[in-house]
Amino acid sequence: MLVAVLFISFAALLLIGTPIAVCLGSSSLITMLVQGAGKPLDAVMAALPRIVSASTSKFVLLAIPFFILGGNIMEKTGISKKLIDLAEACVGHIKGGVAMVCVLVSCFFAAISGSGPATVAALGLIMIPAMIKAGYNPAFSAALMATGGAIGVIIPPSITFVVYGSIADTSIGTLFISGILPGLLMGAALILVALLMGRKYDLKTMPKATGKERWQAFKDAFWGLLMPVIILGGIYGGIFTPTEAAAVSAVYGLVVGLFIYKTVKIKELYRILIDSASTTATVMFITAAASLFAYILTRARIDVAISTSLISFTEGNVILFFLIVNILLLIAGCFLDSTSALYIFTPLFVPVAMALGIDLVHFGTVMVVNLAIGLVTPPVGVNLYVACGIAKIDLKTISKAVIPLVVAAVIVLLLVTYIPAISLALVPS
Amino acid sequence: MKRVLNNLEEYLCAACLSVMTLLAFANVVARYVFSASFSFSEEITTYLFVLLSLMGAAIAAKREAHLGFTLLTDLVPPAVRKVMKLIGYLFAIAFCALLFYYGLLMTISQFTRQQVTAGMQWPEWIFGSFVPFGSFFVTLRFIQLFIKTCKAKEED
Repeated sequence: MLVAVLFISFAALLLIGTPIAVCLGSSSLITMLVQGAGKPLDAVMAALPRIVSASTSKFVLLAIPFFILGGNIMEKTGISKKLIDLAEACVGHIKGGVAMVCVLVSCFFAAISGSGPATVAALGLIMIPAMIKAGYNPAFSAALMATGGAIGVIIPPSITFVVYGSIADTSIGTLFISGILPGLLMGAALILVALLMGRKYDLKTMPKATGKERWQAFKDAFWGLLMPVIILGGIYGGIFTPTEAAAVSAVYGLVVGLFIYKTVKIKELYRILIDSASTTATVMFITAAASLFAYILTRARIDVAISTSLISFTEGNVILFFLIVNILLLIAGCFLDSTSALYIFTPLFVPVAMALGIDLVHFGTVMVVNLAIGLVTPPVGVNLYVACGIAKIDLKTISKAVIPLVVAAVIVLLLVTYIPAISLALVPS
Repeated sequence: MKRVLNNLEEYLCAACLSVMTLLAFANVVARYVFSASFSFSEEITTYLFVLLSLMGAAIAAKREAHLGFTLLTDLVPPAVRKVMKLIGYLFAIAFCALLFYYGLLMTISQFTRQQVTAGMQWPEWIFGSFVPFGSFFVTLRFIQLFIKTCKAKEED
């Protein structure tokens, strides 16, 4: 009964386009009211402000505003152009090289920025026109950029990993490390598809860069390239916690922008701060509402009911469980953003994963790769929207063009799912 | 004055985020350079995070930046879309107003019970008040958005 109230009110609000945070929050409150009927209202609702304040004051989640701020400052320094120049100097002369540049720079940029849509927006403005100019069709160019941007949530730092770590109570530093190889594998798969597709087009190439030009491009991009080294090196070497690394990355970006590249003006900082706060808050507002939703699931013992039935249904079969997880998350990824999907599904899946003896870091990586694919599956693939906007094509056109890329991504997902070593190889034991 | 009121959450967000970043950064420096850390920093930073999240949500509401599922709303006629939007905003207003009201009750109870924070033993109600304070602005911005959508003649 309560399950029905919760999920039907949620679905109804979602379908009419209500902001996802409001869908989660309102359906939770409606369920609380139904459940607490007859009890004093004040007692029923007392949990509301407490959960909102507890969920938005988690120390580990502080990495979110800091990484967003660091990424935004870094982007304002003009680093995307420098990274693209470097990648072009390295592979621009190969046939289909521009598509490789798009994916390579997405991987680089992913290591600076923590989110997918931000990567698409920052790089797409330059890369999509460049790919079209080289001979790729606009739909495929936009689709490749959107999928490349999805790598942003797999390669650390990644907001999606931060959120998973805080829910599953898993080390965020370890999760970050476990995302590196799956992210690179995803990049390799996309490059492969782009090169195969590229055979259909008459592609132009760039003249081969000389060693000197390459060195110059590397020097220009150096301060940007150093950022992931500091973040990941610091976390890997145990110098910083992920939250500290995030704060350091924001200050590092500021120093590079103000004093080294000198492309960021002091008075622009205000805008950057406001934009970062707004982006942070869209995630945190969902976090607050989704925590309420997760609280209702727990209090009504819906989560236990679902986990228990999952455990008995899978009968200890890890392969079957992962198949269910992947299918559910791929479907959910079509309708929900990653943060909501994590808050709803992590508490349901983690007890089952633990019962089956699955490593929670590996499990988190599987969930994050799933949700990354969700960024490019219509209708709620945010990356697709951003890329459509830049390429000036409609959702239908890009949805068709993205199919081969999604197929490649799903193959990578299956590899990451069934070969735990891909996520765990780099993790120090 | 009107400009200040219209942009109050922007000033507060910019201040919050700067202070949070600098405190967190200073803490790292202090730990490595002076082998000491500020015990108050973690507590302040996390409490400011509550304020940042809610005030930022108000900015996002003003910018209509909160994510939603728009497949269905894109397919229906503009008049229906407008009604759907308004219903969604009504729920948003109700949710935020309830958060404001019960947040206020929580703050009052923290004040009368003289609760203190776990770390610094500061009065808890000061930080508790961030919830009603922040949600007041989110409610306000959603009401403004509701009125704006109501008045809008034709949507593209």
